[in-house]
Amino acid sequence: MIDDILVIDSHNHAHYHGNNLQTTLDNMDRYNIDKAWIMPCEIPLNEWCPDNAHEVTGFTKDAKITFENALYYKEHRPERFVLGFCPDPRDPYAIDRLDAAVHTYGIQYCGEWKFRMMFDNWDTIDLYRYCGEHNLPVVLHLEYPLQLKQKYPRPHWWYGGTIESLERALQLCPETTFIGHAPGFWANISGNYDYKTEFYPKGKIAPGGKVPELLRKYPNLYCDISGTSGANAMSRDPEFSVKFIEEFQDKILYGRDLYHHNLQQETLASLNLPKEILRKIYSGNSLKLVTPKD
Amino acid sequence: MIIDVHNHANYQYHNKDKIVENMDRHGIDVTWLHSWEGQLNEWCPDNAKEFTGFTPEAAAPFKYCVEAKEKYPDRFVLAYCPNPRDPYAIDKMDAAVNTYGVQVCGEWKFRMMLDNWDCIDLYRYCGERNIPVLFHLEYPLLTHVKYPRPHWWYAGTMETVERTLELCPETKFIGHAMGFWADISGDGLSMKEVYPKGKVVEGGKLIKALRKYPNLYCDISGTSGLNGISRDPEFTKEFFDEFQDRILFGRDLYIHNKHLEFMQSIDVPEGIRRKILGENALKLVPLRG
Repeated sequence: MIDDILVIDSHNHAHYHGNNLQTTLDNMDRYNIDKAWIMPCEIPLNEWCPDNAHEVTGFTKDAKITFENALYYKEHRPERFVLGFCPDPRDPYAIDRLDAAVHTYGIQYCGEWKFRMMFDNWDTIDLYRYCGEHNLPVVLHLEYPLQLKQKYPRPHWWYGGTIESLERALQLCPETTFIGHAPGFWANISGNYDYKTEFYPKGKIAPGGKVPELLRKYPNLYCDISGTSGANAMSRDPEFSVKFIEEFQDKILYGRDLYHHNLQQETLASLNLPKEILRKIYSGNSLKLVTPKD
Repeated sequence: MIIDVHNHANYQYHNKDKIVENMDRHGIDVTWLHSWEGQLNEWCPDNAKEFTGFTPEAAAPFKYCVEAKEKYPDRFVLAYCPNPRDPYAIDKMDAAVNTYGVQVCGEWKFRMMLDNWDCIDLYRYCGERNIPVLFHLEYPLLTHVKYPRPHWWYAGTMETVERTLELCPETKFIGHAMGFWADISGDGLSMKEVYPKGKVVEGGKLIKALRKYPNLYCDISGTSGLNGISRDPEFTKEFFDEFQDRILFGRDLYIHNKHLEFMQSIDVPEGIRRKILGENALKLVPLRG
């Protein structure tokens, strides 16, 4: 709790960044975090950068972070963690696997969706529609193919496609709630197209960004401020951030996606936001989407 | 000169020798032979009997195209399209171009969006080398069974095709298949029927795309292409007239010769017929012995 506000980290992982269950709990306690969404990441081995391998204990060729890894946390401390799952939508059994996870383990959201495929691929549209019918919000990672100075293992690491492919998914699945995040999503807070060249663009935010536009237009779009990308978007132009948070106070979720710093909380504290807004961001909006099961 | 721009090797019980016999019987001079690296869980097993020698990674392996080309170099043009998901896709394509003289990227038929970034990289490679890309568009019409798949779809939608054309203006694309040809009509049936019949209604997305993008071509192969051009012959004459430089004769089958029979029977100027039957193909891909 921060100033008697319940704090839910709506985007994190298990056995991640060198943390086991106990050090994850210690880290959460240090930052007054009551509960955390811990999501697997079922991305095949050739779709994520091997430079990150040291951050994910127990990865397999089919998953960067396995469901079992997340389940372990949930089974040991059910009151502290909220469990999710997102099968690879290309698997012909994806929807049945998700359905089995809902009924067997009570998973409450679909995440993390992070795949080297377009957001509006028909197979993933089918998956989102299942989620809409079963009231599971979908946590999406958007990253553009920014060219690296290498050919192998990949010339770029991209996920989801574009902000426009996200918009098409929003249109195709009006009954499904989506939570956007990651570099490509947050770079689009600004209207100056720097999402095409930079992961974490700095400086004043230009009007006309696609993120504010989509948040205004689609009631089924939410966002989480996790990761370097979310923290950067909230801190690069504090004047804009205050207005942004005021306007979308019912659609922004606090999250971290890491354990080694506390930038999200520090940024929120620096913006002098009203307590009622902070309450929504730290947990109110998250609780509106998902009521944690102990 | 008659060029079938869309066919396969070891397909419908036709090995290289039977294909040449079939071509001779129907007066076809040259055939573009396409690989299809469709992986096993992305194509309907009901079609397995048609693909002799398929593997888990390819319904129509490229090696059969190469075998045919090596035996009958004057009768075939080599087409190859690696699975764009493969991190080595572009190098595989480059090796096939340099080793075997591949001249066409095809058949692109994958259960992924046509504008997927990895595909865009592949098309741009093709654009730089003047290699046309032949793709299959099919909408996810429900099969009414859950497994092996509730639908068999490839490439997305005609809007996906348009975005791809915009992203790769230097690459020439040849479209075909059910979704592509159903969109010749503005009747809105492309998401409902595989081979819609009846008069072509104004406003078809295919027509709009052909008008807007000079890098879009089409082949009349398969049941879909034949249906697209035969459902409303009066419309087809106008269609052939307007897009006479971007329509290509193709079959995608060996079991009948209805495409050529239709082309020879339709009342269009001889010059247009010649373009569609061979000249447009020659312009895109000059023959090499």
